[in-house]
Amino acid sequence: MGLVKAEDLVIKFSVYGSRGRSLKNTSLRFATGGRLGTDESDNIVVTAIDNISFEWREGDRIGLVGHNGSGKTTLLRAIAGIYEPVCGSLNVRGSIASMLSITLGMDSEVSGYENIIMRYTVLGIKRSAITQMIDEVIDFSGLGDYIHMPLRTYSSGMSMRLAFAISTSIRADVLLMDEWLSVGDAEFSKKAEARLRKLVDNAKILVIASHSSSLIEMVCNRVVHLEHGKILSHT
Amino acid sequence: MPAPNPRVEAMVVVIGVKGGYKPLSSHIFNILNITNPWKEQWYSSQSGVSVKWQRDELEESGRRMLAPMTESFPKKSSYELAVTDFSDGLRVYPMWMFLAWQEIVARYRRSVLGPFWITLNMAIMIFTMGPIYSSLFGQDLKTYYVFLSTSVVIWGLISALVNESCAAFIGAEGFVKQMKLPFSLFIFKMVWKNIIIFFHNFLVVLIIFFFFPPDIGIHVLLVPFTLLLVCLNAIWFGTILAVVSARFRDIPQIVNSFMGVAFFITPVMWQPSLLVGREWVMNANPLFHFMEIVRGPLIYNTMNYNSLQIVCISTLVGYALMFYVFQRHRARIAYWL
Repeated sequence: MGLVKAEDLVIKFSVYGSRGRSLKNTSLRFATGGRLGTDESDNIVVTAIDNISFEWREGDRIGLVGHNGSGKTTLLRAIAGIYEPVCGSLNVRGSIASMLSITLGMDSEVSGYENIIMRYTVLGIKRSAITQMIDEVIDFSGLGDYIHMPLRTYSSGMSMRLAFAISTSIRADVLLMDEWLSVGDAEFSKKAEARLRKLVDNAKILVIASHSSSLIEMVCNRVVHLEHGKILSHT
Repeated sequence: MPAPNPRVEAMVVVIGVKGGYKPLSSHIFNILNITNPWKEQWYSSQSGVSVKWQRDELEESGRRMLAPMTESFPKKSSYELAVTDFSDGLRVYPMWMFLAWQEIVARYRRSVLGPFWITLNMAIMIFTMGPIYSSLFGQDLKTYYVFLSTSVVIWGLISALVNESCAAFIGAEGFVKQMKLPFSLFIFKMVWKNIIIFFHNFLVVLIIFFFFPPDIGIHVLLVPFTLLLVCLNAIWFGTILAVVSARFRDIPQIVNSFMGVAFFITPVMWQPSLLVGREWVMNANPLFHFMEIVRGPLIYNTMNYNSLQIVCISTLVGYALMFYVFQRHRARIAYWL
């Protein structure tokens, strides 16, 4: 059995507080977004993932591509376990690192050093392990003395470098990433590429949602093309 | 140095029948012919998430607090999943203790008084209300100060636990949508944060105890246990409120209004002994009983065993109710946020 396997997966969102009386009962097609429909109580229902099946095994580096609103983030969240399937099944075996937002847990009023600790704590790393990893992260991010300044004094590129350094030090069996990999200046990008390669090599399955075809080419060996919640093509 | 290998989570989601089943409440709503606000009949409640959470025993263990791994994919019942959610929430106690403390620190950062600006509000209220209301009620100022300070501080804890629990999941939307965390974590974080604030406020009480010593006896040793009972009740009540508030966004406002009124109905400013002939008003009010079991041992050196009984029964019944509500709607909370 593969590490990530979906069978007829359906994820629907009920948009509460909206009335669908102006919508026809048949589903409508738009350029972006999941399919809209209505349910019995006339609430609008968005079908974000519409009956998809796939099986990804160890060694797969999956690139999710598609228009905005095609269901990439929803699929990533479903694999992370945030959205439990409405119909169908989704099986994931292995440890999951959901790097959908690399700044989760960071507070702009706190120093960079403490933010590293906060970020790791939110990822579930124990204190004893944090102390071992923190020096390497500070070194890689190249922030120098700024590490003891509050995060609000950083430029956005600097805080992204820090977040990138922390997030790429995590190892997991299934790694989920959502469109955040273009960070830093040219000098940092070279370092980042090497670190990213090491991260990718350490993950058994990597799933990246991205619009950048160069990144997909560099990292991924299979591409899943989503549109309106359905898989258009799957290499 | 070996590269770290933290294992985050493993989840298996197995969904059963397409179309789901109709919950009991929908049958009741149909019979009573009223609109069912919970009507979401196209989703399957038989979602089984099979997670075997275990401590990471490998050589790089200690990296992770949550280390679930699955070897097979048996479907778990929703009750099992609810219980698993709670046990995982308890297991990651460093995370929610840390987050609770960060929330408090964030509040008093760059302030003059530091942590004690939380206490200031309480102190002002007690020192200004004391002389006025003691003469209104015809009470001796010394005894009234002791009563008022403990009552206000305990009420502060109870009302904060009730009011903040409504926002527990709503406020955590950022976390819930980025990574899979046990929902109970947010409840525990809220309770812990309010316990810390309670102990900050308790300093005001201690100052008053220093000047006007009350009747402290052996029963004061019961106070930590009764406080724990209050917290346990806050957990079940808070979970139900948080779940309901995530779905219906007017619940936090309604709860706030109730607690505002409850402040006057519960003996917080006025002594319980003053209410002669209408004791049923107090006895029917569960908040009164929660206050009694903490306040009684502390300043009167007695324990109101009737109140204690009621609190214990409410704990047992409450947890049963909470698990029913939680397992029923846990999978949908992320969709509501």
